[in-house]
Amino acid sequence: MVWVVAMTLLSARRLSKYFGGLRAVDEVNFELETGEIRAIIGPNGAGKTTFVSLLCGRLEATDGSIIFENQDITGLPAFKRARQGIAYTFQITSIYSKLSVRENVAIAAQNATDKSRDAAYRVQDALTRSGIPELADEIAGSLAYGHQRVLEVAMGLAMSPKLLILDEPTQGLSDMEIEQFCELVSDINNTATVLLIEHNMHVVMKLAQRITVMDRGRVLAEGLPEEIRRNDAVQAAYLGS
Amino acid sequence: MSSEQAKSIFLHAGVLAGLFLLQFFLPEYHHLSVTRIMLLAVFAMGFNLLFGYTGLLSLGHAMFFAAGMYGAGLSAYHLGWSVPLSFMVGIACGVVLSLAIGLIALRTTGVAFMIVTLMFSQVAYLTIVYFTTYTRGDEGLVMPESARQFVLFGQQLSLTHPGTRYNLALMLLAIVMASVWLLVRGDFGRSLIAIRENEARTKMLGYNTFLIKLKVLVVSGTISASSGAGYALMFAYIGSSFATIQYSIDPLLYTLLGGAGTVLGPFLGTALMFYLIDITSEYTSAYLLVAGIVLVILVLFFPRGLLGAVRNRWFGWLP
Repeated sequence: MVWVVAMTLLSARRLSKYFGGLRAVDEVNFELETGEIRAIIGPNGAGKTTFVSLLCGRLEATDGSIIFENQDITGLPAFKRARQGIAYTFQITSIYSKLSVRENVAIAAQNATDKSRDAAYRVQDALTRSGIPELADEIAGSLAYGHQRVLEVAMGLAMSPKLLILDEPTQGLSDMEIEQFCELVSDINNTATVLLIEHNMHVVMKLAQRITVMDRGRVLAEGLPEEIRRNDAVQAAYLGS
Repeated sequence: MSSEQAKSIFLHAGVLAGLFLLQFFLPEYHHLSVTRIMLLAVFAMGFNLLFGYTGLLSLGHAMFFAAGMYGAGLSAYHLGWSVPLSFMVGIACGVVLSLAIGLIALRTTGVAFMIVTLMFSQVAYLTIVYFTTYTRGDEGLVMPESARQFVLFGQQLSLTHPGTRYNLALMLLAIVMASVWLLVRGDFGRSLIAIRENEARTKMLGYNTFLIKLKVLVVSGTISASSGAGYALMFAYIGSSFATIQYSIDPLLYTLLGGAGTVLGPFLGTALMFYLIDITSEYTSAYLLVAGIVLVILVLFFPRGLLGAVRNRWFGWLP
């Protein structure tokens, strides 16, 4: 898909989340353009997961605002944001482990943003695009870990999201699985904007068009991959100065 | 998929047809027992919708049963309203009460939800006892003669006639069974199971889980109330003992025994439990001990209940 004019899909203004005295996310300004793959990186405890949790509504912001498709969604509950097209996949695999893979995806497909095709088609499409159609009748909890991660993404895909947030999707995957995963994310990017929290720098450099670096609840740097690679402040945060 | 659906329809229709035919063979005593079982099974089916499918354990379902019972019984007794009208009042009481309780109790989950429903149910019981002028509390009320006859579709029906009672109970069971069957198979049923399995995830998939839980609680409470209303009118008696904790625990036992999260489980569980107590009480006054032991064995060896075990082992299509 060709994006003629870059349009802002989502922006956050002075977005903050405090847990008591801890400023987990501290006045973050953030813009995401329609169609891009953005990676958020940063050391442990930088506030990455908290930040995306604010975006998808899993956590309520202490202060600041979130605009999605020109609409203020700061006060919307998570389920409404999901219906508007923000899909979130959990860092810790959170599937319906007692149900079949097909049921898992069907539950996700039920509230899809795009309902132009019927539910059965959307389920099959998500399974096929994720490369797990042959596992459809397996019980989700009995799948190999890598496949469970893929199922997470398939569920996100079945929602036909405008923005797919992936929280450390490649954690615990083998090198081969990671390669397949990168292909899957590239494919998803044909229809959705992707926001990725990732520790694996190989994956980040391969996929991300822009990178946002967070540290101690703030945005430390933002830019193209090669700019980030050369940034002194980023090196300091990662390697210690 | 569609052959599974056909099998499932065939099974449920078969059970109902079997119950219809059974009335011509049953001796008088068992005829009455089966009538009671069918009504109590409706109660358990309502409970199961909440517990078995949605994973919400209410320890206060007696209040919904009692709402139906007293709504129907009091309007028939004090206002002299006709049987169908009183029955509708009973159901309306169920809707109102379950909606009110839902709005409050569903703010809690897990153990807190159990305690809150238990507490409200106790309030309902004490309310009945408190207004003893109208309810005669523990002693209860016997329905007047005027509430024993009614006209339905141009037919004069008498509730003193066992056949009438049997077939009315069967009708209610059939309606509720069909409704539950339709409900749990569709998108709504899928969202219930999703909430039972992982509510946090379900929210993130775009479901308004509070609203879904409220809806299912209202349906569950209303079905339970329809059972209570039917019980009051058919057996011509209402009393506060029907609002006690025992009537909150019974549907849980029926459901666990028959299989939580199956359409037929509550019916099977009700029938087995009813006869288990019926038969053992002939031999010993410690019949509840026997019932308890059976339940312990069941939970140990068939944690998903009888039909749950059947579904796991042989028939995956069982709804």
